[in-house]
Amino acid sequence: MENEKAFIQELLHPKTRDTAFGKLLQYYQKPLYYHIRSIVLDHDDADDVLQNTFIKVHTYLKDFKGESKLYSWIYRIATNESLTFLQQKNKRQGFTHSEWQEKALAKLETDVYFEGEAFQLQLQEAIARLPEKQQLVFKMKYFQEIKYEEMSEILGTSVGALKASYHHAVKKIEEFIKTN
Amino acid sequence: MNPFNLNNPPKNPSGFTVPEGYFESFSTRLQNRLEEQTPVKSISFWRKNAKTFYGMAAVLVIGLGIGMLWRWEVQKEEEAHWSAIASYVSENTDLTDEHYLELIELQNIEGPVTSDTEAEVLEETLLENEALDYSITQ
Repeated sequence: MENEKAFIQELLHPKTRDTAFGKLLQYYQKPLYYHIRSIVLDHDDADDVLQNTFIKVHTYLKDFKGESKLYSWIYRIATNESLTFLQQKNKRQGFTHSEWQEKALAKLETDVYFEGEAFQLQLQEAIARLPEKQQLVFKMKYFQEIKYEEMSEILGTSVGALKASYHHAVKKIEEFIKTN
Repeated sequence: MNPFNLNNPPKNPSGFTVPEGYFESFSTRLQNRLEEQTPVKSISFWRKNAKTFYGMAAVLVIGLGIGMLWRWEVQKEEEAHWSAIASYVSENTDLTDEHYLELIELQNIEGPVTSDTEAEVLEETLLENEALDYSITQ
């Protein structure tokens, strides 16, 4: 987003706040939705989390001090909201993360909001076998094409560690495809 | 089946799609939820009618003020009236304070005046009761 400081001022000023928030919504709703959806997999869950994310952004915008970029701050909220949502859902239903993942993948095959071609399904299966942090890094890099520097700000992990994580993830996915 | 190649992904590598018109209607749905979350400020009956109450209180204070001022004026007039009478009496008679004191003392000494009927009844009672007469003289 161009001239972020000016835009933040618009978001904080009572007279321009609503219009600026509308702009922010238009700018971020699509990429954030796909980021959230890649974590929670289900469309309805993604919709809930996306709404919660924007509500949090709206509520805590007044506390945003500009120490990080607006983009990183919003993505951090979305990521945390998604992970917390999954933890709470699994706790309620008594599932472990891998049990949930297995069920979610099975559901994906019949999901009307999933283009269920072989490539995508195989890729989701391969991702599900990765450790949680590697899954997140791979999804953010491969699906969202988020730069390592930005990912580093969002996840609070060094660029080097992220590169290594992505590299390992790619190797494991390719290996899975070859053997399956 | 397309060959799997991470470096040559299809158009939508994640495979995720959304219902038609989802992003177009999202802002409206979000706006509704934001409005639900914003607490509606409830204005109390007192706060809502504050102007009326302040007005009534002001009228009451002014009314009481006028009443007290009027009473004070009347009191002042009465005092002036009695003081004028006193000055008139003192200026137009030869009576002094000693005369008044003497008059009051005389009234106290003479005691209350009894009627003739009462005296008669007393005399008859004494005549009829010798024993009583004796006990009085003793």
